[in-house]
Amino acid sequence: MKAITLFFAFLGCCITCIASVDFNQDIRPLLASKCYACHGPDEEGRKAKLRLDIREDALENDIIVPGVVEDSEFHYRIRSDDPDEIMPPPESHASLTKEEKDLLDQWIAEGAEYAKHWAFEPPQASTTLVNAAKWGNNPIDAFILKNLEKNGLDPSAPADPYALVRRLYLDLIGLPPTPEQTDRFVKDDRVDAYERLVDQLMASSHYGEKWAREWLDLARYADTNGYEKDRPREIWQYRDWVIRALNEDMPYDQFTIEQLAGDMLPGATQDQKIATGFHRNTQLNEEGGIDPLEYRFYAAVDRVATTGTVWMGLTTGCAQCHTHKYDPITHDEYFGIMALLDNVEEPDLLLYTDGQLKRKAEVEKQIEEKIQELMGRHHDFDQTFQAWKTSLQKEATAWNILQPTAWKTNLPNLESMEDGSLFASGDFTKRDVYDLNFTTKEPITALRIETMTDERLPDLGPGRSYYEGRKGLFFLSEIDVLLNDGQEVEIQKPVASNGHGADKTIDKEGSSGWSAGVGEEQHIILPLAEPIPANQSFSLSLLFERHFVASLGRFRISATSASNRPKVQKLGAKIEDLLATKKDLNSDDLQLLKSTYLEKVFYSKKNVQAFDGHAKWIWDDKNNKIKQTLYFTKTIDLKKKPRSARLVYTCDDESEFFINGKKVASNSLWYEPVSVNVSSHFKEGNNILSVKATNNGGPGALIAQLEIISAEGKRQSHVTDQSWKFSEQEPEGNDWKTKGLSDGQESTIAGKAGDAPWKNIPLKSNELSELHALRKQLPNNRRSLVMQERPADNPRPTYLRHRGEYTSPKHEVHPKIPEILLSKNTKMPTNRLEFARWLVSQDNPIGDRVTVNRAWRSLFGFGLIRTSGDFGTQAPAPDHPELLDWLAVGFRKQGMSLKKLHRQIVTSATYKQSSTASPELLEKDPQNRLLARGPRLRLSGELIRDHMLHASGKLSSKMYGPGVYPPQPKTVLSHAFGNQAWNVSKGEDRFRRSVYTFIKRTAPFAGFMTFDGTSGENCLAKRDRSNTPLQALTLLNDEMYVELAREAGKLVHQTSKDPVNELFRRFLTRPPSEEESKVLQDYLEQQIDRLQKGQLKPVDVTNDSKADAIWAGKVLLARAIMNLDESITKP
Amino acid sequence: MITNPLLHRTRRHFFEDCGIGLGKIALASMLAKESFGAMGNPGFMRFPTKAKRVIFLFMAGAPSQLELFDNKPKLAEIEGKPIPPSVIKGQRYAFIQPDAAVLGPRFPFAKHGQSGAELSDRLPYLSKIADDLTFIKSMKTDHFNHAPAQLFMSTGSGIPGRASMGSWLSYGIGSEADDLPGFVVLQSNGVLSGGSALWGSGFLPSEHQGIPFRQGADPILHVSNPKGIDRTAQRQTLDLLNKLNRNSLNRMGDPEINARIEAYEMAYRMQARAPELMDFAQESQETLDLYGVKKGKSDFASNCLLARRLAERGTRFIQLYHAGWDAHNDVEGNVKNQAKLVDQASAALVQDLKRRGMLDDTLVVWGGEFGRTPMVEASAALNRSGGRDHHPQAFTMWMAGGGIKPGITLGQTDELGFHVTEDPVHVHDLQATILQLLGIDHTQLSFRFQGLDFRLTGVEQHHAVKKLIA
Repeated sequence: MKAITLFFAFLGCCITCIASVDFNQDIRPLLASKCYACHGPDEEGRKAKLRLDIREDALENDIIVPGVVEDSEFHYRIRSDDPDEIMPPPESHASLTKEEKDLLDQWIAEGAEYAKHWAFEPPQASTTLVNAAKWGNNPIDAFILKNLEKNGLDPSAPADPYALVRRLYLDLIGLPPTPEQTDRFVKDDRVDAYERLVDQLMASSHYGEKWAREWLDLARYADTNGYEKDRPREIWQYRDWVIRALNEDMPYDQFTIEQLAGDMLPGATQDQKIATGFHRNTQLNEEGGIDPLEYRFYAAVDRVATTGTVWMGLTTGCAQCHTHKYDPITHDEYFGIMALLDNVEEPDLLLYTDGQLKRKAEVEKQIEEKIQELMGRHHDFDQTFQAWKTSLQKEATAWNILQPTAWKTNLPNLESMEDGSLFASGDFTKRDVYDLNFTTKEPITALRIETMTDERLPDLGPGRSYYEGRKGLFFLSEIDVLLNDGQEVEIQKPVASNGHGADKTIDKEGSSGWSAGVGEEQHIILPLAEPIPANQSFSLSLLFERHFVASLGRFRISATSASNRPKVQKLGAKIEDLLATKKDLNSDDLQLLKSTYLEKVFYSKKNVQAFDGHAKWIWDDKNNKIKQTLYFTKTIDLKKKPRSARLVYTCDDESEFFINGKKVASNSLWYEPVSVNVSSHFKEGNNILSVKATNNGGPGALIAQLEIISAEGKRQSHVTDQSWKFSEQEPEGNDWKTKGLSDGQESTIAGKAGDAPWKNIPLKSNELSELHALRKQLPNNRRSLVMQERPADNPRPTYLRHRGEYTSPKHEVHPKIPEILLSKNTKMPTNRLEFARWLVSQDNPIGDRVTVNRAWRSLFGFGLIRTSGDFGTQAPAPDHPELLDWLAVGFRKQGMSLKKLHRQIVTSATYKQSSTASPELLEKDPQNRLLARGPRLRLSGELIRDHMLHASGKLSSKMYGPGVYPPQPKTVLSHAFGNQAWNVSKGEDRFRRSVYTFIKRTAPFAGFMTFDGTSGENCLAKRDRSNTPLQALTLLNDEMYVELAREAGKLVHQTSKDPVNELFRRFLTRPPSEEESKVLQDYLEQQIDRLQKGQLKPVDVTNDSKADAIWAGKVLLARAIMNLDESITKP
Repeated sequence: MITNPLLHRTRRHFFEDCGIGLGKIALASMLAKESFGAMGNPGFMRFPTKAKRVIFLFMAGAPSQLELFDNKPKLAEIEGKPIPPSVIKGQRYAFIQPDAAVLGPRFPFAKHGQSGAELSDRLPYLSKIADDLTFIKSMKTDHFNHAPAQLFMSTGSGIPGRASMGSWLSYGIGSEADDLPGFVVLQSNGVLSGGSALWGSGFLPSEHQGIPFRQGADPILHVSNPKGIDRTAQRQTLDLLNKLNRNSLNRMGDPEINARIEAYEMAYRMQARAPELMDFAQESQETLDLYGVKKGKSDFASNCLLARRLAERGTRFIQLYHAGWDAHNDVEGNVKNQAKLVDQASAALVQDLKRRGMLDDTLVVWGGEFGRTPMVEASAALNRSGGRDHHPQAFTMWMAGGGIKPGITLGQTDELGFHVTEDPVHVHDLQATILQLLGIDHTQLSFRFQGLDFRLTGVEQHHAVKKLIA
């Protein structure tokens, strides 16, 4: 328990003497803060079995005797001198003041009436005041005026038009007006000029950007995961959704429902799913070795607290550990709210825009056509395909998919898919076990496990890893096969199509195992030492153990009876199955087989025979002579004997190829290049390549490419070109083959590889890359973190946790909302969607009040109730309870439009008052709770930056997209784990609105944090407005602001004759007074003088070598003006 | 300069949150000076103030107590055998299985000083001042992963976003410095798992967050003038700002304007103070040698010296993080290297404070976020051998000065160093003790956020350790 005497001491100076006590206003806060900790709702903490929060209980045993103070034990106990008797006990440090004791006695004397806490009663719009327009034009003003009069205060005069236009611009769109916009408003003498401006600003797309930032504080939005690794996450689509929704003025109930349960709406759109990112903004600990479910629980705790703050105005957090000591929310009810929110999977939603989907279909079609075309280009394709297929069919193993008859896991949920595979969802741990039972009709000699991808898995899977390790990874540690009598079946040398550690899956060592690529489908084959006999039941047990979650997300089991030891099929299990099938293949299957062959086999074979485009067709000249034979040589010098060498060559029409006199190849069909391994034919020093080539008719030419891997592993290529020497006569003896033709003629280039008439010769650089180029055109999908309701057959049970600790689960708790919030007609929500609907329904007595109070706080700096997130019994009574209720009722009546709500407030006379604080006002109402003057508040860090960007003419109008990186000192990130660089954005991204700045939780943007920004770790209902020297240093010296001062100085230097006036108005909106002009002019001249004298250097000040002293002086002037209190303040 | 007492009172964030507790009246860490002087004794200042400031040498990554402080010959005896199941029941570990084999201590131990404190031969410098130190061999924590455990030690909670100890102090008792931050963070040997949340102010007003000093010329962000602007220009600019801001103050009457003027003046003073603070040329060669400071090198030794200089200049809480203790692999090599980096300077800091008469009111705390397992960590898949995993059940820290009883060892662990057997000190107990040495009742210093009254030491019953307090 904590003393809060000061608060009441303060109340004393605001709330004048009370005629008759009001339980809600006067008594409950006292009882709640001083008594309920021991005599309140919490049974566990209750002392002396006395409960003071319920009247019947308090009246028992004459503790309180209504109307008779002297008979009430309560009266004596609060006034006792005996330290053993006095309440609250001295050790609680919660002692009552004399005034408080008097108040409590007065309450007993007046009958000790209780009332339901005001916030738990639905708001009622008072009608008595609404028409009493003595002041202002808006019912808001009537409520405010009533309170002012009660306290003997008058409202202030209206703000001058300059202050008003600046206030309105900053509040509605978060940017200052330009001097032109200001003048337009100031000169506009139409009666509704102000309302017109309000409408105009509401229609601006900057409206959404400004208000989104405030909502993102509540949503604890950030672009990284938090904790140690703090890796980036993709959820900016959610941020953009908020901006769009606010700009479209989406009704607040819809706005809420989509964020909490958009995925559960019938026919949920992609946008509605993106909206559920709201509760995915929780942090994710990616540290190796954590217990992932423990951190999932912390996220669930955060979601309850955030939901409570944003929509219920209740600080549910208290009830995490025990029954709420002040508010009637039980420990059990707390977990009831968690159960409403927690029945979720947390996938990354794969996103395509409509345009992308269209483009994707187009490109896929083009790929299909390209494959057809490529097959058609090669006269030998069908023939070689058939040959390949036939040869592989012979050795293909026939695998039969095994459907498990039953399964069991430690925790994950397995679901049988149509294709015989199993899909794993739900919760995963660092050590998951899948036990699958089978019965086989055929004997089994080997088993096969296919790992499969799925859009629902992290990065497509096949694994379930979502932190620490790469997303989508799996790690299969151990495989056990047991017969139903418990006898173990020995697995002999498992082999996998890819990856590492297949053999480690049977080593009885959990820390080693098999893992293969992400986004790939691979398989592992488990040959059995002894076949499992027919008609036998057996089990297959898979263990996934790593220091992070690494279980398989989708997989399929097959078996074979083949007597041969099966081989892995590198082209994949699916191809193996197509090859092994005895049935006729349908056209799709055949097409798959053909296209796989084309890409993976045909070209890989052809690849070695193919030229890369550098090789040239050479001959004696471009004329063709029939039956001409030419003799070519080329000498190459090798420093060492090469590691390997491969020759690809062909000749139109036939030829023989020699290396150092030894024949290594010959060809007879020009369109089928020869590829030979010639590694053994080379030696250190000079090597002679020689070719005898004959043209039988038509064009004649030779082409060759020699790929050498040197002893050091370097690749070098030698190709036919004009440097090859030739002779038309056969040189005598075999000398030319070993010594070369040093006196031969230079060759003529007849064309390069790929040219007509030889273009049918396959080229690496062409055909496959045509296909690959097309694949690259497939649009990149985006992802966004979303919520997804768990399948009906696998709900997540929620347990009450003793003391709120993850490691102490007790009984299961079913979804429910706290009883105190239920009205007679409320249908108890049973799931997230119903809960979301209830939160924004009329049945939630607090919700609308929270929303209007938040809007009020944004505009006035303080809410009508000060504790924005807390409407519970311990919260102080609202400053203006009737106004709060009137606004809440009106908000619902007007269709829950935030724009209408904002409009209503900013058009009030209350809002339009001057913010000048006279000494009298400061004395009577230092915090401006009664609103006898307008709001005057420092801007947030983000708005300060936006303001400076706009005023210096640099603000980019680009909206949406991934986070950007404005300049900040490198050292800000030096403290972040992994030392990721802050790669400062280039071009206009450097000058985007601050809502688009990338938010790194462990190293948030320094320029915002210094001004009380948030790193998105907690739901933040209210920002501080501190005033520190670090803020001064930032505005004076931060490169980001110095740059903008330079830009502003340069701009006015180029465009304005009156720099003082122009700069002043850009940053402060109003024109300077005569005195201010003079002081600033003096400063400008003082600085120019120093610059001219060389005491300061224009180039250093402006960072521009063309700058002179006058220009630089204006930069210094801009910097000074930016640092004025008024420049960062809403007037 | 505050002239109008009315302005003085109202400019605080004092009333902004009703019912948030007395600490709100504490001034911003950087604006505050002995902040409770004016307000009388707040409710949480319930103990005699023994320490005025704290230097916390945080050994991030968690050093092995079994290689430094807690000698367990039994481990050598049964090396290679598993820990008995009765001991390891219900324990959770980050990487290993609890039944992994035992690893004996890698270094010999010996007794030192009159207190007979047992230390390994890796700590020759600390051994020499053993009688000035107070060892707690019975530390316990709730978390077994780095980020949460570092956060727990620094903020009392494993979840990022709570207020750090330095922030609590800044909020509660302000700073003694008027030209330097009241809560400074120094780092060496790599980055931290807990990140900037370790010195965040959480729900407390953000002016109470720790100010990380940065490498290079600008220890405080933007403390140097931008290129092209000299001190004269800065002064002239401030004069201009003051004049115009004062005009506004007269016109608008908003006390925040006054605070702004003060903040700018303090920023200007800070600009002058920072280079002076960083100037080690003022130190004698003997002092530099005592710490092992090498010219131009920024490391743990130079941070220790800087910590002393900050303490002299009134900084309330100086948090030094030294990373690199996470010995999953080759604990022997890790301790050998790390001890070389910290032993001398840690001892030098205590000695230096002592000879300057500052040790009496400066509390030095040394330790990591948890301990390390008696069991070996070895994994082929992770290429690890001869390491020790995270061990939250028992570890050692030491303290010196600031009202702590010197030359004693508190607490015991079992013969395997697995569990605490005597005088357990939970992290929250340690935090309560530190607060008490500063005069604060940890149960009374609280702040309301999201409806909870948050305290550094959480909601469970925890106590300052009386046996430790002189």
